[in-house]
Amino acid sequence: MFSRLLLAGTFVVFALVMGAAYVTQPHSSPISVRVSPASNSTASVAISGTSGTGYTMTEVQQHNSASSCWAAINGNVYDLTNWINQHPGGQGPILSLCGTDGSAAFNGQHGGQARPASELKNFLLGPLSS
Amino acid sequence: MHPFIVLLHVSFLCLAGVGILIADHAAFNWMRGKTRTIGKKALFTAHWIVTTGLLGLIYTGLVLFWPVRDYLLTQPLFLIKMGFVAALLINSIVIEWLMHVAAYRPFKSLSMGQKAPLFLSGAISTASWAGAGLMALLQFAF
Repeated sequence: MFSRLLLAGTFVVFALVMGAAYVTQPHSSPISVRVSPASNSTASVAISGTSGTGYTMTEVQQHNSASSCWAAINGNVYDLTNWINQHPGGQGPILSLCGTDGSAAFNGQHGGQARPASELKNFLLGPLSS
Repeated sequence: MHPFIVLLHVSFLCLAGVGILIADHAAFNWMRGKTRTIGKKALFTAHWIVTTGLLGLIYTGLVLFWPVRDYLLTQPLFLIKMGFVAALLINSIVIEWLMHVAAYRPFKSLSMGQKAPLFLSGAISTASWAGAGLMALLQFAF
């Protein structure tokens, strides 16, 4: 009887948590992932590429491992090293972005989603210079 | 915190796995007539091990889920996995109703109508554990 109550109670908790998560889920917005360096103080402070105006693709390509994983996404460069072990979808998708332009992969998987875009901002290094 | 919860989550999965092996072994012996009935103690021990494993998986899973809920709710594999988890929970309650028969009646003596819910519940349980595990693996791989 006790375990039946426990299981039924857990089902209610499970349903409530899932329901709350669904209800409070931010609606997908068409916001752009691109962070304008000129208007973003974090980016302005973080710019330290060898070119002085941002990071080149060559620099990004040098950080192509799990120990130093940079990726260019929608015109900005991100250091995703610390995100590898935290990515809810597993390490694989992040590792495949290391040292590359991951714009297509990111937009294909997370385009228009507010949360991934907001998470990504935490790893911003600066703009990608041409 | 995060790696500890993951470790705990996997530990509960292992515990549930051990419970399933014990329960299935006893159930197969009962169905094949090797044992006339399953002792009440053995029956409840196996059920409690699986239940503890399942509940532990769910609660640690909820802790892991909450910080990344917006992302996971957009993932079809995760949603399918949650469907299997819901099925497992409901089936666990049903199993507790059904399993008592194994403690006092031999499998052979049951009518087809009495056997059918046992088979159905077993099939749902197997499919749900396998399905949830597969979805978790696919989610991790892709």
